Amino acid sequence: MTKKDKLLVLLGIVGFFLLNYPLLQIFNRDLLLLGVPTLTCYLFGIWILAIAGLWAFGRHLISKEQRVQSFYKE
Amino acid sequence: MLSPELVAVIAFGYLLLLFAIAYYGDRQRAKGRSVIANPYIYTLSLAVYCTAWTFFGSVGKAATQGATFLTIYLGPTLMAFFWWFVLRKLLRVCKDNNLTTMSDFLTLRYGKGALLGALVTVGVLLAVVPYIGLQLKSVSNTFNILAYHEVISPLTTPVYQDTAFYVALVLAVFGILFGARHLDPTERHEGMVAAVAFESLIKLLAFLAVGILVSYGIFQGWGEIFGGISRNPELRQLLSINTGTHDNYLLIMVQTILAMGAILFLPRQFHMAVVENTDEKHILTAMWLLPLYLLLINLFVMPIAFAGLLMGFPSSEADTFVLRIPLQSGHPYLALLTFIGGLSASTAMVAVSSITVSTMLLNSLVLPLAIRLNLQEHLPPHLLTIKRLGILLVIFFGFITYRLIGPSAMLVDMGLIAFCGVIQLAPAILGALYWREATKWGAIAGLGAGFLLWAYTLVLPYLIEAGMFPPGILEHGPLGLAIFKPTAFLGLNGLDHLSHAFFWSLFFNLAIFVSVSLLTAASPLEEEQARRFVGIFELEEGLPLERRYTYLPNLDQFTRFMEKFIGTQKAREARQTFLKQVELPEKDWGDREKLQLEAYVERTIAGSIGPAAARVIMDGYLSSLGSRMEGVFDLFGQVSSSLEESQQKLKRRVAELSVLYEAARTLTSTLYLPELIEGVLDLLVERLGVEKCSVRLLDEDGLLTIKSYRGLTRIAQILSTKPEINTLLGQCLLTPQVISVSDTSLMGRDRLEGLLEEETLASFVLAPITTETLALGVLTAASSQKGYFAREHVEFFQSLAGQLGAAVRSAQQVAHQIRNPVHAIGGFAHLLLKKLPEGADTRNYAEIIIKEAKRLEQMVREVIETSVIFIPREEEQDINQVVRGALGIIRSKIEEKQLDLKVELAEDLPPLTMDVGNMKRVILQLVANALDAMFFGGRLKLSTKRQNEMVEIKVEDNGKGIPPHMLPHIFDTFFSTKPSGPGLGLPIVHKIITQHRGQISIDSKLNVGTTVTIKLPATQEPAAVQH
Repeated sequence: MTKKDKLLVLLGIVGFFLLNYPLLQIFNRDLLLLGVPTLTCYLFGIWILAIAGLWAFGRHLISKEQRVQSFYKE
Repeated sequence: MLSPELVAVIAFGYLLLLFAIAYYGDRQRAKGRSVIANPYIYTLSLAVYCTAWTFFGSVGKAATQGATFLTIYLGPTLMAFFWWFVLRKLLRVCKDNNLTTMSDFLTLRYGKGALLGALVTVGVLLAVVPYIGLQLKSVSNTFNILAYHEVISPLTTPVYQDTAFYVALVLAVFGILFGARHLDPTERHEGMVAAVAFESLIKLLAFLAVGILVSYGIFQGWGEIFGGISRNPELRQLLSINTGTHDNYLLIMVQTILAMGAILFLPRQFHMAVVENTDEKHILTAMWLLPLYLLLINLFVMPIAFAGLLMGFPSSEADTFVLRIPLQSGHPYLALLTFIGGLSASTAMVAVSSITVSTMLLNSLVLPLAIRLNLQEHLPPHLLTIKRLGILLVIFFGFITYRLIGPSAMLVDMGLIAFCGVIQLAPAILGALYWREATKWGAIAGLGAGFLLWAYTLVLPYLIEAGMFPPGILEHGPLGLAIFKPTAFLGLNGLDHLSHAFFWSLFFNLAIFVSVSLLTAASPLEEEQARRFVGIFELEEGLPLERRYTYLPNLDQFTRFMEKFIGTQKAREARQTFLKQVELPEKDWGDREKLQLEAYVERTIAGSIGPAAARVIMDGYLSSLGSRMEGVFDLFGQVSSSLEESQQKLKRRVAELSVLYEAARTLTSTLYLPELIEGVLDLLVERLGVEKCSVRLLDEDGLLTIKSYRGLTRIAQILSTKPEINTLLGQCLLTPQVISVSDTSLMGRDRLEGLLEEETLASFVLAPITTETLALGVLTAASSQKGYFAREHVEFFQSLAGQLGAAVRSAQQVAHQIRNPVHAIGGFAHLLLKKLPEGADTRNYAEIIIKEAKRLEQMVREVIETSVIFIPREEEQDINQVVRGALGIIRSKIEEKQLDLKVELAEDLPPLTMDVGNMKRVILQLVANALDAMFFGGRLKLSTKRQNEMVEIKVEDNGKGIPPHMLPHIFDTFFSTKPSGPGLGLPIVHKIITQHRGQISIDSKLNVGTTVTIKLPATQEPAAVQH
């Protein structure tokens, strides 16, 4: 696990805070955004960001694994 | 309209399709073409997380509590950030140890005892069984809605008319067919995984179809649905959270944490993520694809729920909105698809859960119990039946709970009860992976407390509501003790049930787990496992041997043994796999490979019966063959096997280095080779606990002769041998290389020639003593334990033998480099003397040169001589004979000096055991010293005398004596009273006398004379000479 990889763990912790009180309070309003409640927009927005982050990290780690493997094959 | 028959036929047809897929998956696996070995199937199989609860319950929850249901799917998304670290580690540990359930994982980590596994199994069973009941309820309810447009309460239906009963039966058959068709040591069911993945796809598509219909077919997009809700003052609060205890921030946090735990610790998730994983790298895809799947399946939950409410359905029917909306709006076939989707969600969950829980039951409850009752002999043929019964039993229990408490609870509640139950495993499992000091009792106490409080504060209230316990407990506490009220434990009021139970159970679980772990000591076995689990990524290289068996069966015997547990076919496969792993044919196996085989067989059967049972059965099997386990006595003393690997290595290095250092010190403190060799052998015995060791040196005739030894008793058998290249001894000396034999029984007799029988009992090491150019001899170390000398010791013996070689070489170098110049000096001085005229002053100088040169030559000879030491040849001899013999040699010198020689030899001496040659040297040396000390006409007296069981030998002179300050150093090597003496005489004398268990003392007065007294013990028994 390199230093960079630990960032993934940090993102997870940040995500936990984003999805909990008190940050949730900011978006917990009686308001519609383009016809959708702000809270729903926020939760799904974070969700999509998390998936994008995980995807990027997954790609990074897969290519790293492959580099390591090809290194040993040579 | 849909008739009940049509629905039943479609449902049955769908299940048949699943069977076909599963069958295909199994067939492909048998052919070696796995259909599930790709990250997408892996992701879909993990989507078994979405059960009927997701499919129907989420909508129900959204219709009553708004967005809180999302926490159940956001939790796994958050957990995905930690998968690459936590899940991968869990995976690696389980694959390395062939672990197939969580209880096996914990059992193995915490010392292979049966208690912990049993506790985990009971807890998980309690948590999962109602969850299974919930799936049955869901299938039967949706079936009834579709077929009869109503939900039929099980309270009013007899069992044989209850749809859930038939659903349970079909699911049990499904579970047995694909989870227990045969015994599989890896407990992998690719066919089932393929079916589950297919179901995941179907349930997603079905749900999306309903969502699209509702959002865009019935309504004009989300705007209209959400707008409708926000305009309704009664429903408006569904758009936000924290409006009451049912959706406050605390509950959201608790549910998020529960979901984070559930995605890892639910038995079915563990099975899919860990046991059925084919490649670690699949995690990297699943970690974003599964959250995406969860997002998609939740995308339309709120629109469907709110649409249902806007369409006027009562919120109490919200659990079935997904079905009722298409039915109501005239899309019966979409409703049928939804039903199939829900059926997929339920069947997948029930199949996987029942299989995994039944494996846990078998491995952690049935087998340990059978062993306790001494029934293990009769078990193997029935393993498969027991597993099938287990599946049946788990589903049957689920059905019972559905009949008993099912009607009173909402779908979602049962799921959260299960989540809260399995999260109790989190401290013990995470502790197993990351905390070395976690102990068995810590895990048992923590888990026990956690499960107990979970059952008391969360399960009990439901049972009370279902009328199984008096309601007074809930209102006033048990026996009227309000402080123990299940929903307000220790007076904690104001929390919802779930947060309350979550807090108390996990609080006590964690606190007790940590404190008991810190207060109790782990057994060595546990510590070893802790080291292996926590350091799984560091331990790529092989461990040193830590135990061994007096006897181990061969591969054929082990294969037959495995057949009993996993069947002929699988046993043969396992055998092939092992042979591939070790890359050595069986005949070349050493202890390490045999031990590997033993561990491999244990792991393999552990896959079928669990580690606790496997350990006991393996021990029983081995002891029935007369084998027992013993720790390999660690070569380096107290280094406990439980220590961390790096620490252990460090200690070993320190022990080795200290021996090498001591050897180097001995080497620099003496050039006297016998002393050096003795010193090295002493170090081997004392510091490293080597049983038997010896040094053999080559003599001029090219024969290897034992010069010195420890622990050998039958030395007389072979004194000298010619080293032939086809023997190990010769190979070691002539190639030259260190040879380590861990099991002599695998060696041909002819290879061992030249070695003593007692050296070749079990294992030994041969190390060549060489200089850069010459082979000088062999250092041997032997043990009567097999495998005593591990490969890592080879290097050590090489260095030690190298030091000995260097010592021999430097002694020879000194001798050779001095000898030639000294010869030259003596020779030229002689010439000089002849050329000098008689009576010249300078003649005196020349004579001094000749004399001193002679002394030097004498010293050199002594060094060379002492480089070749003798093994004392013990024989019984008359000491008087030896004294006479010595005097015969030195007589001319005595006469030259015209000394007054007195010899008094007592005739009543007891026989002495001695090395005649060495004893002669002693007498000669002492007489020579006396001669040196005396001038013309001195008095020399030699006497022998009996003193009880001792013989006393005295050499007295009246020479110049030894200065008192020198007396204490008289036996030190290189110390000499004479200004130019070699200083080797008396130390050798001292050495020889102590070798003969004798004493030597010197009494001297300056200018009066010196008396040397030697006392030797008379022969008592034909004992070996002590070193």
